[in-house]
Amino acid sequence: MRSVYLKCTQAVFLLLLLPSSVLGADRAVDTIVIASKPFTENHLLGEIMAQLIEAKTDLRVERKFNLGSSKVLFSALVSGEIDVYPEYTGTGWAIHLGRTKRVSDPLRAYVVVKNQFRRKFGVSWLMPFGFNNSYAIAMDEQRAAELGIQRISDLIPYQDKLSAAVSYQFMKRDDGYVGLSEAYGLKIGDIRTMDHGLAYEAIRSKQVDLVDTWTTDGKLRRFDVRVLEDDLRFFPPYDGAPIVNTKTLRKHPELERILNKLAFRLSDRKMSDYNYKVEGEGRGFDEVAAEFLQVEGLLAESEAVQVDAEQWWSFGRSELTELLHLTLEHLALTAIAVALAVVVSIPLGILLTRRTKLAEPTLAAAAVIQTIPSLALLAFFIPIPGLGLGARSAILALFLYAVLPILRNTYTGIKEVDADLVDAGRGIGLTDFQLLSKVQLPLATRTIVAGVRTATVISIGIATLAAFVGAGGLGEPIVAGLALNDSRMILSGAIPAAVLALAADFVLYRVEMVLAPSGIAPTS
Amino acid sequence: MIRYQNVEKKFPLPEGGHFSALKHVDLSVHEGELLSLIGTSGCGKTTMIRLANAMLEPTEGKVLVGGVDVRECDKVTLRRSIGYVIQTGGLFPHMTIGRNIGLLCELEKWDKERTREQVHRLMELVNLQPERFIDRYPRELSGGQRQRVGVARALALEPEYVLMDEPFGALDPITRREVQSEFAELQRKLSKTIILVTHDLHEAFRLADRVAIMNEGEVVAVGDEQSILRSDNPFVKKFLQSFDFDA
Ligand SMILES: Nc1ncnc2c1ncn2[C@@H]1O[C@H](COP(=O)(O)OP(=O)(O)O)[C@@H](O)[C@H]1O
Ligand SMILES: [Mg+2]
Repeated sequence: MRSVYLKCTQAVFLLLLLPSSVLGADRAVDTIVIASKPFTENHLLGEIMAQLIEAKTDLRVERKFNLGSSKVLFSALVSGEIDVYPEYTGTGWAIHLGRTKRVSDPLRAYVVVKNQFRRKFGVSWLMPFGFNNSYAIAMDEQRAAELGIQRISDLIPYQDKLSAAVSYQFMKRDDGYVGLSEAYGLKIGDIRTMDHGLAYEAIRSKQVDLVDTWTTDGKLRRFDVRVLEDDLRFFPPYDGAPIVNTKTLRKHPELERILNKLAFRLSDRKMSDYNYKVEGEGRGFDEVAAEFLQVEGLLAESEAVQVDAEQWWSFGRSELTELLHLTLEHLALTAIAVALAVVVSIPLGILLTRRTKLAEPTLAAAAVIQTIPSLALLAFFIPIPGLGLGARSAILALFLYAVLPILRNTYTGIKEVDADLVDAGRGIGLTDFQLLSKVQLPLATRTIVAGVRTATVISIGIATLAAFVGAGGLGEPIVAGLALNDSRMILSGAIPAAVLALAADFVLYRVEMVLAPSGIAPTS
Repeated sequence: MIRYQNVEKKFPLPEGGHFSALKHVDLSVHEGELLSLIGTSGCGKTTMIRLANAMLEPTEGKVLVGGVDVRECDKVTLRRSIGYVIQTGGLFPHMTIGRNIGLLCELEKWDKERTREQVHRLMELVNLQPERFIDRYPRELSGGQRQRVGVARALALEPEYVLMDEPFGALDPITRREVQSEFAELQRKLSKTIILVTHDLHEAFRLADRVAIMNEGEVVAVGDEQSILRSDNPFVKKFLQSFDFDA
C-alpha cells in the first residue's frame, strides 16, 4: 500500500516537474533578458526596468523589445527564453488564463493572476506599477457636446449614425468591441479597423466620431476628445506589473526587491505623461526612462518613498487575501465533506446498533476505504464522468475518509452505553425511539463529536491533496512549491493547513465539552 | 395479581441446544402482597421478574398480570403500569434526580406542574429532601440515596405492581438496614403488589408477606416465615442453615 502511494506521488510530481525542466533554456547565468510588447508604454516600462537592474546589480541586461503578440511573449517567458516583461492583469486574466468571466475588481484580478500564474506557469507577478491602463472609448469633443454624450450608454440612440475607427486587436477581443457591444447592446453603424496611429489621425481630422484608446495613452491628450465613462464597468482592469519567470527569481532573488521599487510610482496620469514624452515629443526611450528613474530618485542609494500608500496597502494585502481565499476554499472542501459524512454516518451508525449483524461488515468496509492511499483514490475518481478534475472528486474522497471515524464512534458510542441503563430504560417503558433520543444518543454525544473531530482533522490534512485534482485549497502552494522546489511556497500552504487542523481540533474539542451532557464526569 | 402458570423458560445456548432457566413454575402474587423471591445465584429469579414485564417471553405456560396474559399487552403500556427497580439503580447519569424520577410523567405528557408535584411527593416519600437533591446528578449521590431515587422512579406513574431485582444488594450492611426499614414503612402505606428479588433470607423475612424459595429453575417452597422454617424440603433446610437458621 505504502509503495503504491509513493509511486503515485512520484508520478504526479514528475509530471509537474516535466515542463519546467525540459524547457529550461541554456544561456549565460548572469544575463537577464527583458522584453516588451510592441507599443510605447510597454517598451518604456521595459527600458525603465532594464536601466534600474543595470544600476542596482552587476547583471548583464539583454533587451528584446517590441516582440510579437502577448502570447508569443508569454510563452517565451514561461520557457525561460526571456526573464521579465511588463504585463497587464486584464491580459493575464483573459488571454493567458483564458477566463471568460469578466472581472471588475482590480485587486481580485491581480490576486487571481498572481496566484494562478505562479502555479500554472511558474511565473511571478511583482508589485503593480500603479496605473490601470484599461481600454476606453474616446469621442470627438465637439460631436460629443452636440449629442450630449457622457457615457458609453449614451451612444446607443445614435449608434447607426456614428462612425468609429478601432485597432484590429480591440475589434476582435472579447474584452474589446465584441464584449462591449454585447454588454451595452451597442452596434456602431460604421466601424472600421485600422492601425492605431491612423485611427487617431482619422478622429483628429473628424473623419470618425469614435476611437478606442486606453487610459494612459499619451497621444490622445493632444486631441480635442472626450473619454467616455464606462458606466457598466465593462472594461476589465489592466494594472501593469512586471512579470518574471520564477526560476529567474530563484536564481536572482534580489530582482524582486529591486523591481518592486517601481511599485505604485506611476499613476494613470503620470504614465500617460511619460508615454507622451516618447510619442508626442519624439524623445528616445532610454532618455525618458533615465529621466523617470532620476525624478523618482530611484538611482540614489536610499531613495525617498513616494508611492501611493493606499494602493500599496491594498495590493500588498494580496498575499493575505490569497491565503484567506485558499484557507476558505480548504475549509469549504473539508466542511462539505465532513457535513455529508455526518449526515450519512450518524444515521447509519444508529442503524447498525439495531442491526448488529451488519455492523461488522459495514465497519470493515469503511476501514478498507481508509487504507486506500488518498492519491490513488483521487486518481481513481478522475476518469469517472461527473467527478473528474475538480472539487467533486476531492469532496468525495474526503467524504469517504470521514465516514469511518464518525460511523465507528456513533456505533461504539451507542453500544458502549451501559447495558443496565438500556435495560432499565426499556424496563420502565421507554419506546425504542425514546430510548435512543433520551438515553443512548445523549450518552454517546461525546464519542460521536469526538469522531467528527477526528474526521475533520484527518480531512484537513488530506484536503491538501485536493490541489492535485485542481480542487484548490491550501494544497495549491504546496503542490506548486514541490514542483518548483520552492520550500517557502510549500510552507506557505503547509503551515496554514497545520494551523487550521489544530484550530479545528481545538474548536471541536470545545464543542465536545459543551455538548457533553452534564452529570457525566468530564474525562479528557 | 401476578400469576405464573406452568411457566417454562429456555435460553438457547451458543453451542446449540438450550438451557432451561425455569421449569414448570406455578406461583401467584396476591393483590397488595409483597412476595420475596429468594435463591442462590443463577436459580432464575431475574428471569421470573423479567417475564412479568415482558422483557422476556415464556417458552411454555403464561404469565398473567391483573388477569391478562402479558403477551397480549402492548409492551410499553404494560411496563409503564409496572414499577421496575434494578440492583444497580439504572438511573440515567445525564439527567438530574428530578428528571430521572419525572421522566415517565414527562413522556406520558403530564403537565409541568403535575409532574413537579409528583416528583416532590415521591422524593419526600423516599426520604430525600427535594430542595437538596432535585437538581443533583446521580453521581453526586451515595448508593443508598441512588437506590431511593430508583424506588421513587418506579412509583412515578403510581403503578399497582412493582418488580424489584435485588434493589438493596449493592448497599453496605448499615445502609441496607436503613433503606430496608424505610421501605417496609413505605410498603405499609402503599400496599402495592410487589415481587422483591433478594438472595438475603433475613431481608426476605423482614420485608415479605410471603417468601418463595427457588432452586435451579423451580420454586421449591412458598409461604410465610413460619411455614418456610417448618419446611422439610432438603434444599430449603440446607438453605436455611446457610443463613444460620436452625431447621
Ligand atoms: N439471556 C440469557 N441467555 C442464556 N442464558 C441466560 C440468559 N439469561 C439468564 N440466563 C441463565 O439463566 C439462569 C438464570 O438466570 P437469572 O434469572 O439471571 O438468575 P438469578 O437468579 O441469579 O437472577 C442462569 O444460569 C443464567 O446463566
Ligand atoms: Mg439476578
